[in-house]
This record gives sequence, C-alpha cells and structure tokens, in this order.
Amino acid sequence: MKHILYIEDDHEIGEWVKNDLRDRGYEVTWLTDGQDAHHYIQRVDLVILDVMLPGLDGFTVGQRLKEKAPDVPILMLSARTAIEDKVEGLTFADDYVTKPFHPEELAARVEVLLRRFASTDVQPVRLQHLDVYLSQNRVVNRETGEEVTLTGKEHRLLTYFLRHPNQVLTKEQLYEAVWGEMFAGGDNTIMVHIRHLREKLERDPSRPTVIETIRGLGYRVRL
Amino acid sequence: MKLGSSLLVKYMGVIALYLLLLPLLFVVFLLGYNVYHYGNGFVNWQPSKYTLNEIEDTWHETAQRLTGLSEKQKIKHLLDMKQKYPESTLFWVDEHGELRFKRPTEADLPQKWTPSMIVKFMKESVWADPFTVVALLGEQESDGFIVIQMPRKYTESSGASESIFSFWVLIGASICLFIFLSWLFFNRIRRRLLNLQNVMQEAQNTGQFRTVSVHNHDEIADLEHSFNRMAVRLQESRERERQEERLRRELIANLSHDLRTPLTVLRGQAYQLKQEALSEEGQQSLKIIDDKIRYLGELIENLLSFSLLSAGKYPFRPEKKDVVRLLRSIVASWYPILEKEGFEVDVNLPDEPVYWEVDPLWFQRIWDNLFQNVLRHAKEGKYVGVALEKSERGTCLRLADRGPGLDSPSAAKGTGIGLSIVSLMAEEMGLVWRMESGGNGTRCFLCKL
Repeated sequence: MKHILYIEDDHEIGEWVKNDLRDRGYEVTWLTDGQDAHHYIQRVDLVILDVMLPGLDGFTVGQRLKEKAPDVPILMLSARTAIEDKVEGLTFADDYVTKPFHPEELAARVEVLLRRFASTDVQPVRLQHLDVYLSQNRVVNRETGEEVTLTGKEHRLLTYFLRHPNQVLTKEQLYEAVWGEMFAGGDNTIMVHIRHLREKLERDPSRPTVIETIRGLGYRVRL
Repeated sequence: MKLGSSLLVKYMGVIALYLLLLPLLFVVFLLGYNVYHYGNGFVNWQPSKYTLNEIEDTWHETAQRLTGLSEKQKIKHLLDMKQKYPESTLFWVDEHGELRFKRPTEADLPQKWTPSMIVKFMKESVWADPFTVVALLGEQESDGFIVIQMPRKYTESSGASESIFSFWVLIGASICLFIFLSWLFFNRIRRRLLNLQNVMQEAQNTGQFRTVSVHNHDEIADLEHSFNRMAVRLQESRERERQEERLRRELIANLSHDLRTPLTVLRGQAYQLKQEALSEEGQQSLKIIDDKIRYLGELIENLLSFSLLSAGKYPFRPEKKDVVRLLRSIVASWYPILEKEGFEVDVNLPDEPVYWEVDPLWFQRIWDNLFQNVLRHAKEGKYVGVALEKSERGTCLRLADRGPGLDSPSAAKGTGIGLSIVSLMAEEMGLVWRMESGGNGTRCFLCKL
C-alpha cells in the first residue's frame, strides 16, 4: 500500500482529503504543520503539501523534504494566487494543484506522480492487451503470451508515455525527454519511432489504440 | 549661511590675498635681488662709471674755461679732459667750421663743418649712443664748439638689462601665482560638484541613494545638504513603495487563501454528498454547485491577478520563446477537458518555430483565459480551432469557436475580467489582441505585427 504524507492546516479540508485518499486505497499520515515532516519522509511514497502553513511555510518545508529525499515526489496544494506560487513552488515541487481542487483531479495527479516515481515497481502496468514491466524493460502480450522486444529508445518512449498517462505529449516534449536534446523543428525522428513502436505493440498498427495520435498536438497513451 | 562663508566672498578673499601678496612679492624680490648682488661683491654688477649730469656739467665748465684762451692752451685743456675721460671721443671745431682737435686721432670726423652738418650732427646725437654733449665756446657762438662723446655703457650700470628681465619674470610669476590660487579655489569646487554628480549617477544605476558627507558651509554645502535631504526622502519613499508592494501582495495572497479555503471545503462537502444516494435532481444540483465552485475559483484568480496586473505588480519575466511550441503544449494540456466536453479540437500549427518575446506564464495565462471562456460560453459549438495565420501585416495566433458569439445573453456574464487580463497582458508584451464575434462563433487573434 502506498503511503502518503499529507500536510494541511485546515481541519475540514484535511479530514475529507484524508478520508478520500484512504477510500482510494492509500495509507495517509496527516500533519497539521510541517515541523515534524522530516521524521516521516523516509517512510512515505509521496508528499501532499499545502503552501500556507502555520510556522514554517510550505515552500520551506518542501525544500527541506526535497533535500532529504529527492526521490519522493511532492505535490503542492495552494490557495494563494497561482502565478507567484507557481514560480516559487515549481522549483522543487513535482506537481501543483490549486484550490478549490476536485478530489478526482487530486487523486489522478497523485496516481500519475506515484507512477512516475515508482522505478522499483515489480507490478506490471496493464496497457490494454499488454503487460509492461517498467523496471525490467519487459513487455508481454497477454493475448499471445509472447514477449515484445523493444529497442532502448522505444522502451524509453513507452516508459515516458506511461509515466505521463492520459496526457497529450507533444513531439517536442517526447523528443527532449527521450533523446535529452533540444528539439529541432521539422525532425521526424519521433514519427519514425512511434511507427516502429506501434508495429510492435498495436493489434492493428494502421488503426492504433495503444498510442493515440492527437492531430496537430502529439500523442497520448491512456490507462 | 553666513556671508563670510559664501563662495563669492571667499573668492574675493583670494583676489584680496593676491593683491596683498603682490607688493610683498616685489619687496621680497628686490631685497633678494640686492642681497644677491651685494653678496656677490660687484663682480657682475657695477654702478655706472660716469653719470650723464657729471659729464654735461664738466663739459660746459670746460667750455667756459676755454673761452678766450689761446689755441695751445685750449688743446692742453682738452688733452687733460681726454685723460679724465679716456673712453670718450673729444673734438674741437673753430669758428670757421675747421676741425682743430680730435682725440682719439683716428676718430672718423669730417675736417670741415658747415652749419647744416652741425645741425644734422646734433639732431642725430639726441638720445643716441654715444652720449653726446656739445658746448659752445664763448658767448657769441663765434668761437666754435667742443664736443664730447661718451659711449653710454660707461654712463649706465652694467646688469641693467638683466634687472629688466628679472622684472618681467616677476610679473609672470605673479600672474602664475594668481592663476594657481584661482585654480586651487575652483578645483576644490569642481571636485565637490563631481562628487555630487557621481553619487547621482550611482543612484541612477543602482536605485540606491547615498548621502554625501558635508564639510564646509558655503553654497555647495547647501546644495549637498539639499541633495542629502532629497536622497533620504527618495530612499524612504522607495522603501515605503516596496513595503506597500509587499503588503499588497501579502494581502492578495491572504485574500486568495481566505476565499479559496471555504470553496475547497464546499467542494469536498459536495463531493461527499455525491456519494450518497440522491435523486436525479439532487445529482443535477450537485453538478451545478461543482460548476459554480470552479467558476468562483477562476474568478478569484482573475480578480486578484487583475488587481496585481493593473497596479503593475504582476511579476513579468519576458524571454524569447517559440510561441507555436508553447501554444501546442497549452492546447495539449486543455485537450482532455475539451475532449470530455465533446469538443472537436482542430489544431493547425506549423512545425517551424515562431519566436516572440513573451513571458511564458503570461502567455499561458492568456490562452487559459480564452479556453475557459470557450468552455463556459461556446459549449454548443463543440468546436475549437487553433491556428497560425501569416499575413504581410504580421503573424497571428487564432482561436476560433462556433459558439453563439459574444453578443448572446449568456456571454455577457463573466467574460469581462478574464478578457481584461488578456488584453492587459497582450499589450504589456507588445502584442496586438483582437476579437471578432458573430452569430456563428468568436475568433480571437493574438498578433505580433
């Protein structure tokens, strides 16, 4: 069970977010201030942090936690004006949700973050007819029982899709994430790699369902 | 300021000091000069051997004594005179104009003197070198005349020209002294003015006003005092401005927090209600509540942003960015929501980058507001188109919907502040913002001309 550290000073909000996350199957530790947060950081998988806290503010707490445990994702919750918080908060936070948030939106962001940071996950990700073992570089077609062999770049591309599920990813984002270089306009490398990936993953590569093309924008993998 | 410390009075003082020093300088010079010469014991300087008066008197006396004497006696006297004045030239012309005697014998003199020659000679001798004295023998001028010519160097003290040279040096020195004193005076003034100027320049560059130290009590000191007062006041007002800005931001942050927290609670409560068994109408009500909460959240954000923006306190960090790429990722982030609402998203952006000088957060804010409007007011059209248009007038990014347009009753509500922010931000970034609306939809253009 994933363990979430939730730091929120408002009791009404804290109560229902805690209950909602518990209902969704997470173990939640709720603190009303950030003083003792560092005692918990080694034991948790994700931190949800409110910006406005009594005593130490959320930014300071977040920065300290990030220094102590850089591989634990931090999601900031803010009720202040989005713009300034965004500039200040996103330097260490991994995601950002503005109040009044919708519980489902928060849950979705938590799930995405957990998946993005879960490198040691042995559970396969179920992607239509495929089982993807992210940590083992392995993809199995459940229908045929065959293992699909991917090249390094194809695997990294698929991994990136799965770490950002349900998001429309542009060519630039994909290229820069997988190749680690600035995207030069007009490059069709991404198109070629997506085609190869589809040939290996899709039931019918001419009508892809695993990797959707969003016309004019990019590609998406839905979970 | 006391009159005595005025720069004008001070400069008058400099001039007075100079005038006082000048005679003193002369005295010192003369004393020094004489001491120098007497100290050196007449080696370089000698007083004149003869004086002009002495020669003239002696010569006229001689003439009187010669009157009536025989030729022999006259010559004897003249020889005596030659002995007395060995450097001189002596000659005697008799009543007939005959040259009767000349010493030294080799002197180049005419043997015969006509009256006109005499007049010419006398004319030429006036103020000339040698010094010439002509004395008539006898009362009736009939006995001829005797002449003595003495080179002037024996009638002047040697070194006189040297003393004239020294005099000019003295004048030059005193002028230099005056210039030097004035220079000292004005250079100090100049340095203080330059110092003030430097401090002002520094303030312009760093925005920090520094006071200058004041030592004197003159006009410049007054200026420095005024400058310091101004610097302190400017520094204070700048400080106050900063504080006000901080307070304003804090106020807005707190206001935002105070408004949003209960909204969040509301949303949480509504969400919990939704889990209960509710009638169709109950679910519908909850959906409306949820919608309005979202709308209020957006409105709060827009109101507070607008307040900061119109006060010029909204952080602005422009940089050169590929706006096509920015816009594509913004549309991508809106895509799931638009898709959920059943919109057709028609994106027509080129692969080539288009660079504009924008603040990425502002740019995103503009499009977020536009998409919010589309979602709120153009749901019926089920279409949103994003494209880049190039014309000879410039490049435009276009957002089009097929909603009922801005003139329809539903659009009148609530678009104001969001669009005001769009227009303020566009203007600030040097972009042209324009909207066309009709019954078959609204088209928004963000252009760089």
